[in-house]
Amino acid sequence: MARRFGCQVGITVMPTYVEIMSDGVTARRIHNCGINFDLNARLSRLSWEVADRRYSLEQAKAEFQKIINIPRTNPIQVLFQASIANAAFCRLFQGDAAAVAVVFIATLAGFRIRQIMLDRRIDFRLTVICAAFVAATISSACYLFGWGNTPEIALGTSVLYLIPGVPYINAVSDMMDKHYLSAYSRFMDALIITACITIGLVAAMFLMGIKILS
Amino acid sequence: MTPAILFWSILTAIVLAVIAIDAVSRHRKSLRHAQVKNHRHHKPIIRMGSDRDIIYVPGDERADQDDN
Repeated sequence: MARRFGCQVGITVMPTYVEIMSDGVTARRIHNCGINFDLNARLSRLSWEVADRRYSLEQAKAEFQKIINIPRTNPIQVLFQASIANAAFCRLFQGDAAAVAVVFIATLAGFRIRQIMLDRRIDFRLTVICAAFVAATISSACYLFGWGNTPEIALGTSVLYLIPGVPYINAVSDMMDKHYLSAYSRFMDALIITACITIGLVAAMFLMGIKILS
Repeated sequence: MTPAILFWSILTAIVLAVIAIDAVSRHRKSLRHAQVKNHRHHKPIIRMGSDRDIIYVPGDERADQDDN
């Protein structure tokens, strides 16, 4: 985008701030607003439109304002869509009907707890631990009550909705582009979230007395 | 009933209770917002004479702060 307007720009993206180097250096704090795939897609399309010289600077600014003013998707709609997606994951890993149903309910509960805690601005890592714990505990019903033949798949896939896929993909993408600092910071961020998921899952398994490996 | 089933039942009940309480509080909040909006829409008292018009609604704390 910068090249299209004849500028030389360097960008360093960190988890808490972004630094842009052009004539001078500008640093801006990144507000934690959660991942919005619709916004990501629209901004990506805008950047390509600008790079391909379809938009002038004024048009790009107007379009940018329009995009950031689009309201977020209804959280209840997101809740159901995420639950259906996670249940589909369970089916993809050969889970039976009971496992799929339990994963749907577990995701519904875990995701809602996550939304409630994030609305109350509780620490994201603690939120992930609680959501993983709730989802894993509820999905362990397959073990406790003997529902279906694939309880381990239900347990494993119940926390997949928490996996930080976007930070991992961005970390690899940054590494490819030689932005090693950004890649490392994103990777560490994603790794910590993954560790939080593990803590929630293992705590649930420990309390439910589930031993998969033995 | 094994301890694991007991714990599962308690946790599920707590989660359901948290979700239900949150839903009720959200509903009440939206009702309160709608009431304030409705009140503001029908009964505005407009005072002139200051640098800008102040719309005062009885019970609206933000409007009171503006007035001060």
